[in-house]
Amino acid sequence: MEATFNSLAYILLFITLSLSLISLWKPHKVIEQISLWSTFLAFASLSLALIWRGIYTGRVPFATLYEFTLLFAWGILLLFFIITLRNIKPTLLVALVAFLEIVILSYGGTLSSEARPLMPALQSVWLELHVLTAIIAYGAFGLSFCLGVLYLIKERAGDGGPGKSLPSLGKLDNLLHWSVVVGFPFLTLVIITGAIWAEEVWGRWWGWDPKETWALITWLIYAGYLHARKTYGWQGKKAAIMAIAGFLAVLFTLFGVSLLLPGIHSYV
Amino acid sequence: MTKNNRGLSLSSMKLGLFLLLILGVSASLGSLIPQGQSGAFYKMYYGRLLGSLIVFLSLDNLFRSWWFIALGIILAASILSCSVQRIRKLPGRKGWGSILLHLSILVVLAGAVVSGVFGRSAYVEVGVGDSIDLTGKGFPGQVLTLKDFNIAYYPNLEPKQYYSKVALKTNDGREIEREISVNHPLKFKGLKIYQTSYGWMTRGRVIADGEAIPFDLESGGELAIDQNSNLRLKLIFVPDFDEKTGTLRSKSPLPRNPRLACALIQGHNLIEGKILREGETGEIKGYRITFSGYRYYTGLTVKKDPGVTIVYLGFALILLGLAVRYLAPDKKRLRDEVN
Ligand code: HEM
Repeated sequence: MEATFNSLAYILLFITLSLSLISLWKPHKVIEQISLWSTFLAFASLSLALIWRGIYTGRVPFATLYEFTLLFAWGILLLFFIITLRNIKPTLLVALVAFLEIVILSYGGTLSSEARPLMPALQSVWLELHVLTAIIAYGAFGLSFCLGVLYLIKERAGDGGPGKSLPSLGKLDNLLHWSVVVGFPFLTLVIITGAIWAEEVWGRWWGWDPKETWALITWLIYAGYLHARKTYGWQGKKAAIMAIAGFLAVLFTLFGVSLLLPGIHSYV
Repeated sequence: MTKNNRGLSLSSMKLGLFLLLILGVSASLGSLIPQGQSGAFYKMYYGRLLGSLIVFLSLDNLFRSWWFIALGIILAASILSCSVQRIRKLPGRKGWGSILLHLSILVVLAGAVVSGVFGRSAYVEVGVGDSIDLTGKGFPGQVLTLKDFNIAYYPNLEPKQYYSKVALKTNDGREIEREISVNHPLKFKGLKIYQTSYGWMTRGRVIADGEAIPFDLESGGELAIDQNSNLRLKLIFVPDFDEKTGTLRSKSPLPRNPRLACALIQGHNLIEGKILREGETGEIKGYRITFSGYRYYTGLTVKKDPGVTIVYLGFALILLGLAVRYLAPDKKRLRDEVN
């Protein structure tokens, strides 16, 4: 069942991507509507996959890299829908989000989805809060990455070509700032709950483990973004580039560290 | 907020951003370069030149190096000086939130310093029924007794939880009994004890040259039989011996078919091995070995760290600062910003 819902989400996202590309080429209201609906169905389907997994394993699906990859994809979609509630759904954003989702889920497909019981170290409410806050933080940063890319595209293309469906530069910059402002306090929570968990399980709240270190680096990058934007007036292009860099650090924290750098987190 | 571009004064944002950048880059180097290895390791792995450079710049112990700590101190000074400057300008409600956020980062850093200076931690191993005096480990007057140890398993025999039942006699003469498990350390008056590891111990004796040598060793340990000829007996406990294959790989983690594997070793050479049942006596090269029993030992981390309270206080204040800065009456403005 879980696999079925996963595949369904995957297919729906492909439909979203294709339809939104088509409507970029030849804008059409109905096609845009359908592509938005299919994103929503993909979100629902992914939610069902996660719920199913939770019921099947008898625990929250917060423990393996595979599970977190699904949650990561879920969080980006969640933040995307929150932003569409503000009546902002440019076709190019839909296409970009769908593409990012497909990349993440494809990677998830290569990971072991074996449903293993929770090892003792992972049985902690702090870990659950840690993952819960991470879903929102990284979802918001995923969205700000997409908005940063859109900003760069808009700046290049102006009102013609791919820039046609996009809101103004000022609006994109504000949306980008909004999503970082949502992500930053949640990233702070991720780091704090992680530190408390580490103190409860290993007796050290900070140990410069690669995953911890990269979460801190991400935090520093987004703090840099907030300061530069505020005091240097680094809005626009430079800010967009910083937001993109921040998300690359997020990806490295989640996947790069698990693959390349050894540490106590290597089981997650 | 006025722009502050007076060159590199402590409160300038230029310095602040530069510090964030340098700290980020340094931390990433610290995560990419393996830490705490020997000098020879870096020369072999990175080549002579780069390896020496890594050691020279303390990149092999980056997070404890004087320059990394100095960067942290400069960041703290910068945050402090920014905040003090902003307090003078009578900030509004959001401004106070922001200042609280910045000052609480200093509280966390202060807690880290207290942790580093006053924190103590030691790893101990105790067999079931044994006691250990923690005085020698830096916790004077405390005696720890392991009453029992057990493991809960999932149906597929993966471990679910490890439990150490301990009694702690404190220096004021009180005795408390608690159960320690992973994620549930014992906490008592600033002392914390964590479930960290476990293993098996075996008991018995060896009769060598008419003399009985008793042993009570962790599995995998070695017993010196003859110092002069470097003759040792290595003892490995197999909880669930596989009769069919006869290998030392336990079929399950449970003591369903316990055996003691004894190996007589000289230098690096195995002379002869033997596998004994509980209560059995066997002979290797004239040495008579008796396997009389087995039990668990637990590995615990004992810790006292007054810095943690300060760090947690800092965490709480950071969150409060963020909430005041971003949540308070600001919802409308954000919406305006977006539209
Ligand atoms: C780890 C270090 C730091 C973190 C996490 C941090 C975090 C923040 C955050 C979240 C904001 C709010 C940004 C916004 O308005 O959207 C902020 C603002 C600000 N920070 Fe920092 N900061 C740090 C270091 C510094 C340093 C070193 C300085 C001084 C050089 C500084 C000075 C300021 C100033 C002047 C503001 C603008 C006032 C405001 O909007 O609240 N910060 N900081």
